[in-house]
Amino acid sequence: MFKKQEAGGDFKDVETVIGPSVKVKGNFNSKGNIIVEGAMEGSLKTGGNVFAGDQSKITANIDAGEVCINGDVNGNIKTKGYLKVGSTAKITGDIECKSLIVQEGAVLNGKCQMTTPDKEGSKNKEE
Amino acid sequence: MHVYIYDDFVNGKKHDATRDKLETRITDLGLSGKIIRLGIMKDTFSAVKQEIQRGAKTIIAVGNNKIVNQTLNSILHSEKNNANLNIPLGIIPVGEKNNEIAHSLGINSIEEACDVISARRIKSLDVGKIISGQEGAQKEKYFLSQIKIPSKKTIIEIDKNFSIENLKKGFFSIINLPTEENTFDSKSSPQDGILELLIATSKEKRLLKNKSFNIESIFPFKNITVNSDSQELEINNEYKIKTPFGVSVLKNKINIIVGKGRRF
Repeated sequence: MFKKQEAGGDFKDVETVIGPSVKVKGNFNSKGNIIVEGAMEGSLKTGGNVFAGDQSKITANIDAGEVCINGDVNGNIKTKGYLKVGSTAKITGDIECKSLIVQEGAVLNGKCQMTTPDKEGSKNKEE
Repeated sequence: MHVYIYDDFVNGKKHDATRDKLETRITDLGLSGKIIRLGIMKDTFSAVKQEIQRGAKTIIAVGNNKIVNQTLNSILHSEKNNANLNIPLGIIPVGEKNNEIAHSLGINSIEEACDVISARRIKSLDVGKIISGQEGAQKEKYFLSQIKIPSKKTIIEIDKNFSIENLKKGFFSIINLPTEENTFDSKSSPQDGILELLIATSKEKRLLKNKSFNIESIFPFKNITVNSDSQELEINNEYKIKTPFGVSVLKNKINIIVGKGRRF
């Protein structure tokens, strides 16, 4: 889904867009996909996915399905799926994810914990 | 009985032919009813209230977005004491400008509007509610399509969870019904029980000296509070509301006669 968003301007699958001119403060709870291009302080929790652009400045703990970070994050990141850390990303905080992609140039300061696939998932794979 | 509310400008000489065409068409389709011509001596609210008390079955706004909004507000305020009335609102667009609401509902011309009223396809749509003033003396206004609020020194609090501040020049736009004026690629619908807050920032073209706006942010919500350093904020460049004020959605609040080609 992020390929579309990286091309810019496609809001079809996205519920919330925090633009570059916007500053959000507080506890942000959502069910859908979120694009962050601006500033965010507090906490960010969604059942969907999070894409943070290279100009984004997030001072918050993130809890989401899949996460792609290209900007600054000060806080812990927890994902149910993968975490992609882009070359322009700067993360200060602990991360917890199922799978991890880190591009060359990314800065990552914090503990990293990989969650194991759940039993049902592994059963399905065996089948 | 059908009650047709003609906006002031529809009574002008410029629209003589339009009125003749409209009245012939509604007679042909057997939709004749009472015509109320607004003017200095007659305002929308008192006219609609009176006709509802007299047992109007359908109220039809004849004019542009302005009369649609006025009629919507008049119906909803009149129904406050009797929520079971659910009187359908019909729309007949007149004039070439400011008819975005009718177009979104699939009504693009007078002929089409008459056919739509004859087919009587009624849908319950959400309505946006603006509430201002202190408890006990609160004022309510309703909107069907959208409201625009200047974003300078304005902070919006969504569902009491988080606040939003726009750091550049621009405006906030709150959308219920998507129209050609507020087109953006989204799932926005007046039947989902959710409003959408768009934040647009200006990009000035220096050579041409005209401004255009980029929609950069989208937030779905059910309740917001608008706070500002200014004591009043101008809404849609039409009226002023004292701050702070709230905006919320009323699900399936108004019955509207819609066309097949509506945008939702």
